[in-house]
Amino acid sequence: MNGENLLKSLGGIDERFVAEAMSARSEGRRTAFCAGPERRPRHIGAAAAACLAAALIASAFFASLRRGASEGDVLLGSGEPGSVESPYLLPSRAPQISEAPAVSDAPETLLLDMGAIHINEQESIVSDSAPYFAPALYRDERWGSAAVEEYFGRSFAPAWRPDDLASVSDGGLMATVKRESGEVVWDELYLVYRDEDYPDPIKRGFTVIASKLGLGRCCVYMTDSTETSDVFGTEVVFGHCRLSYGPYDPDTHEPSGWYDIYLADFELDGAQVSVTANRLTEEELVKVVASIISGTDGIELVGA
Amino acid sequence: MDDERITGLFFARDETALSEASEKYGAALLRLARRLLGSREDAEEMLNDTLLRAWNAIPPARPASLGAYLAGICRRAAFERLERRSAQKRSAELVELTAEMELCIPDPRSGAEADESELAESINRFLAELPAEQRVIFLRRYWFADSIAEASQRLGIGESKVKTTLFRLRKRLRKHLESEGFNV
Repeated sequence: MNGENLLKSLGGIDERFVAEAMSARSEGRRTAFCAGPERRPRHIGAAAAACLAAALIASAFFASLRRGASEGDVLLGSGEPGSVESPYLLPSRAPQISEAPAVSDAPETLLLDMGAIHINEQESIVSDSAPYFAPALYRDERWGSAAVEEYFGRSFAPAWRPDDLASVSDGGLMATVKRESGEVVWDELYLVYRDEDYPDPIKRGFTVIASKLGLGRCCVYMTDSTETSDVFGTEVVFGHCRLSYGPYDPDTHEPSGWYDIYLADFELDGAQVSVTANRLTEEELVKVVASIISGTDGIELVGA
Repeated sequence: MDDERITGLFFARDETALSEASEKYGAALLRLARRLLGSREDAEEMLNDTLLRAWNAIPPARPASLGAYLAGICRRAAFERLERRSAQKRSAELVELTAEMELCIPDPRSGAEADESELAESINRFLAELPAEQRVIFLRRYWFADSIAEASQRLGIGESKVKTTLFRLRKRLRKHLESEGFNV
């Protein structure tokens, strides 16, 4: 079977689906689905269940407001944190109701709606090389975790990562370049997490790069059109590209295989941050990024 | 004229059924055929062919949705024509759609053939599980051969959302086909 066979076999699908897609048309900002299986009575139950679920979420939200949002979890939607439409509730931005005592020390779980995450498909990605600093004028330094956190005022180590990935960057050492005067002209935090046992030349893993001076040697750049996604109040550009790897067949030029590379670029507390993931799923990357931004590992993706 | 009356004209063997059907659905059918076949001449021929086939099929057929029925005939006719062409003579749009569909096939290198009707049944089950909006986006792209911009404009949603939705649906379809034993 090839792509054209599959495309052709779509011709045999239920005509109701075709009629539904044929009649669907935007009415202003909303799309009307004029005909189709959803109108069948057996789906009324599902619609009622959805309404009931919405009502339960709303009541849970107001209940959490009454509790000072300290117990359990919150919320879905879009808009300002703390509003009914908020897609999430950050611990630091939770509505503060001073008279409401904390009822529980249970850690909050932040909900993130995957439906609001846009992945920008990239035709290709480009990489860059490091600038050169003349040793006579500049000196290199490597900073440990404490110096890094003092410099950035925060950590960029993800609070959550897939279980099979281990840090291979020694807890956040950072390469810097200073002028003789002491001015930092190059700062690059480079955190690497990898499955060293992954049975393939392209290992499963991801890197986090952060810089206050600008990412001058980011591994890869997204060059195609981009739309941002809102992750706990931070605008993030997510991207995806499918890359081949060698060795390549000498006759057919077929690659040995393909792998997914996911990217995320954002600014956080005055630093540019870039996350590049090989062989991770979209959900894993989003969760890694969300955990960097929120500083918590209690993140649940909904609508995934 | 509404579908029921046009179908009534087909049943009455009244040839105005053809002009009414063409007036109501001709533009959509032409666009579909043109995207699949790549040329206006072929698309016009396909429209005439579609109407002729419909004339021969109704009655006894009484389509629930005349537009979907005609579009189905048009799409099948276009693929029949494509089968007679050499592989090189494919429109740029079709090549792009085919490449995207390849990503849904669990093992495109196996070369094994899948039964077309079984595959369609499996895709029906996949589509039935989707929310209406996702299903419509999928069909606008892979059934009606809409470009990303056209689907986005038609449905009143951003191009990025269309692309992201399609990206996720391709992955889900691939998993679905794999789970139903289409390891081909």
